[in-house]
Amino acid sequence: MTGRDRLELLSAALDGELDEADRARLDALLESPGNASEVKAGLERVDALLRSAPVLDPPETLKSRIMEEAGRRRKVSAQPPGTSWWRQLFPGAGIRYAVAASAGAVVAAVIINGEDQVIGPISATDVTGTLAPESEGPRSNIVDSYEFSRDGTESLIQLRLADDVPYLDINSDAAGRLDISVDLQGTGLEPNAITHIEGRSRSIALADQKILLSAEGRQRTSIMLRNSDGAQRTDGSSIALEVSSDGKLLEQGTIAGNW
Amino acid sequence: METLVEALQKPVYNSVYRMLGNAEEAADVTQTTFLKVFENIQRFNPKYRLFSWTYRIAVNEAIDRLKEREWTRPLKGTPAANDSPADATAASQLSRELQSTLMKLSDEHRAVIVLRYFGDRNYREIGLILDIPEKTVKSRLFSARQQLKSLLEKHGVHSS
Repeated sequence: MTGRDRLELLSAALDGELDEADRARLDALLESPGNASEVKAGLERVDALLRSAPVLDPPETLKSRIMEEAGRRRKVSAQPPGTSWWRQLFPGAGIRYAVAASAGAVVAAVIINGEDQVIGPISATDVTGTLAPESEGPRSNIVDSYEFSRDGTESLIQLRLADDVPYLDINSDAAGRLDISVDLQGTGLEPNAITHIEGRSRSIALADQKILLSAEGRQRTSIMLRNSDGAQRTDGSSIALEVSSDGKLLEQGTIAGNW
Repeated sequence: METLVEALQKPVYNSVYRMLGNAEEAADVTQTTFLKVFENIQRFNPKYRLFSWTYRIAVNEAIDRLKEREWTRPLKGTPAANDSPADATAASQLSRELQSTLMKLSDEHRAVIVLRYFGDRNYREIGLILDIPEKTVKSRLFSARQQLKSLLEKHGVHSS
């Protein structure tokens, strides 16, 4: 038994996890010269502090939230086979509302870490591909776009209107990591839902009037926008874009036009 | 199911809160935990007690949430940890120093402390929940307590 093993007995004693033999070893340790008593006293102080920590009450609504959500999921799973998972999740919505990440005052963040993180009920591997095929979407009119080049490849950020609904498309392609920031302040718009994910976005974060996307390699993301409650468009305002890598600002641009 | 939630929501919520240090996230993770329990009950491994199995899911969810934090950068308008009314209430109920000190431990050390003190699990159960040998539980608890002792002393926090 090493010195540390013996000291661990002091800790285990607090938890009532000693057998007869261990108890005898502990008694011998405490009677022997050394700092065992000091260590024991320190551990006991920590133990007392942890035991004195108050027990918190969960939010009053937590149980009802859990039961309501469980009930909703039971109904969804009872739908006929073949119903797409996104339609199950959003039964009243069209396909372009498939991955709805609502963004209000509170952040909605979708993390797509490589291939093994989960987004909704399926893995990001499944997400790679087309969730909202263009053929199923309405015809789009491009309002404005911003293009930039990195590592010899072209990237594009564009605003388009489809049935008068604004969408922001971020199509980037770069060997290294790109952090793309889209600032909607003053535009009267805010992010509504992620409608298309293709390729390898590392993370997408939607906040009130801001979108942050980190990507590596080739990816396409479309985000449906909506009019922001109580936020009017400021005259002459435009969507501000910043592209950086490793904290270094590479590009600054704007998207303007009528929407 | 309702009985299960009634019986376990408090200890699970408390353990998750101590893992995350944020009341709103703790409520979210607790909800996710129970939904996963309901959805996977047919896959329940009888080697665990239901209580321990629920904890296993809760701890894994909490650790996943901590990893997500590393991915998600704070944005303008994002509520900061311990900023919400729920957090304010929570913060008024527990020692802020203790919680902030717990947050300084590694996830694996915090997990054993949380399961021991806030989940009231013994070594065997902690080992099952975290999938580590009992000997490792014992060793981690000792290390975690030693670290807590040093950190608390550094911040002038003592129990009497």
